[in-house]
Amino acid sequence: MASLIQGSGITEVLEVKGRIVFNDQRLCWQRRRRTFFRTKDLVLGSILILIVLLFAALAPVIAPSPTKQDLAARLGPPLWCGAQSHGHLLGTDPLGRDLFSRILWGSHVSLLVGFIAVVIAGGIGVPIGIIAGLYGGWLDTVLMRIADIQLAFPDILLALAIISVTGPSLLNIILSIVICTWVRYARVARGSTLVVRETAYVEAARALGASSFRILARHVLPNIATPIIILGTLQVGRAIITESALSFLGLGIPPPTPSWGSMLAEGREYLMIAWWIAMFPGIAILVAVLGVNLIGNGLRLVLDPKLKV
Amino acid sequence: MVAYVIRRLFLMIIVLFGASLVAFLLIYTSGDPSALLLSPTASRAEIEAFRHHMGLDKPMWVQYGRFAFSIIQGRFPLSLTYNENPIQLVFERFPATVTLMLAAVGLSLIISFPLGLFLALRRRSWYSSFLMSIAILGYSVPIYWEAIMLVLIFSIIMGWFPPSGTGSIRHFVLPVVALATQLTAFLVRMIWASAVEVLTTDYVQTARAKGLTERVVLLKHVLRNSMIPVVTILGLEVAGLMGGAVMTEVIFAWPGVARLTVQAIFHRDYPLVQSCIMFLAFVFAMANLVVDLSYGFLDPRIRYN
Repeated sequence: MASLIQGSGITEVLEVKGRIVFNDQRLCWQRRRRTFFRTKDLVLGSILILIVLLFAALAPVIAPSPTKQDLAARLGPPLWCGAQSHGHLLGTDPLGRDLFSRILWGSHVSLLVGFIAVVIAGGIGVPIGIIAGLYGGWLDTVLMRIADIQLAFPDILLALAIISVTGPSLLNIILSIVICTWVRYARVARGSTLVVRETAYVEAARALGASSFRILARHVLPNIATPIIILGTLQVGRAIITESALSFLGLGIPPPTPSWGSMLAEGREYLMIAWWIAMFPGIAILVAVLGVNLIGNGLRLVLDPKLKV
Repeated sequence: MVAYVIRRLFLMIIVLFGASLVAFLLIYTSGDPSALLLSPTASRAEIEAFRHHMGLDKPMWVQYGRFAFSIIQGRFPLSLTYNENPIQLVFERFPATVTLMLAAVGLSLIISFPLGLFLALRRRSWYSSFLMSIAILGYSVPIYWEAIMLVLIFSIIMGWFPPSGTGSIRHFVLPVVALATQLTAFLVRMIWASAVEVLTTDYVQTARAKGLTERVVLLKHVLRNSMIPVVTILGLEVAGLMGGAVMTEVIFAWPGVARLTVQAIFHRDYPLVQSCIMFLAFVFAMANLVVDLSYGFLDPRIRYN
């Protein structure tokens, strides 16, 4: 957009609540940058996720064998609990495997499922939602009814039923989460598209003879990106929780591959004598989900113009 | 209003039709149940006779038609594990789930409304933003981990509450707290956001300018107008709450519908899975209908047409 005063970033002069306001594009970006660092949620969430990603990346270096058993050291408590710890930072499980190593390796499964399921579900749901919102008709009607039907089931029950039919594997877990969640993206994309469709700039583009693809790519998609990015971020947390819940119920990644949910389930059985087995995988899930949720909330504050930071 | 309810009931039928399709397809795609249900030593003739008896030798659409027709008639095939009418089993366990969910919702509302309103009134204080961040922590906690930690602290270490089962009010505490935590955290944030918006409206300022007491302004203007988005969220959260109930019931051995569904899925008790799916879809659709109808009571400006 051209500036009103040459050399400046001012593109608009507005009257807001009786005051003259200059809309300065350069200042806008500076403000956004400042806003990012002032948004504590975003900074804290990013730090938590970076820590989780760092540990996940370093797992092969600092914890090379998560399946190595040492029966002499079974059910060993964490390092700070005295001499019985056998030198394991977070203690050991019933087979004498190092809990810290397993938590690091378990992050691979959770992060992989979380991010891939969100990308695929968004990749399916968003285009369908946009098309339904833009053109309406039978596709819109069918989509809304599918959404009604699917949202009538708790995610975890539907995922459980799908996994019980298809069998537990990484691919099937991702598939079940995608089936459970794609409709949320479609609904959000449809709702946002319905709003954007009626705006003056889309009408102007149409009047100027812009093709449907151009309207979609240049006008609709950038203007509906915000709610979808926020939803996608928050859904990563939900996907991590669903995956670990499936593993907890015994329908997750088959052993011996470590997964936070299956470690938690194992820990539940030894709760009376070895609390650490259930405690630490849960904290790992909490840190990852909290990080993602904080980022999602922070993004909402930064990107949604109606909310002030 | 009547036309609106009729239209919503029609939409409910569509949802239930879809649910029946999902229930049927889940079982149909899982393969031939005769291999599971009959003894491994069953002869070919016995397998064929069983398939014919169950209608498994018919084409898919015929099988679905028979299934849908039996649902309309209220005749579900007997549960394979309990050898009883599955709907009866669902109804037997439904009160336990409803009690658990209602208690959790009640506890959430009791905590979240006063807290959300108070924090909205003190929105510029340090503790308001601090507690809002704590609320994010509240809805990030995986319910199954929280439940296990509650058992560890309050059952094993303190010995205050039993770790599982039913029978007394003490059995009730830990499952309700576990189920209510996420909802409470979510509702506090919702009520806070909603009340902050209402507090800045002209009618609240007018009410204050008229000299109404702060109590009246809060109860008659702020609270009532903040409730509409909260009721919407509660309606949408029924499925989420049921998801939470699945884990809570499994961990605390609570004899509810959610645990029954999980057990049916694990035992591949197809008639019971189908009944549970249909029932849950019905409950969810009804909850949403009640939520939609409650708008009119909360906000007289809303008209049904």
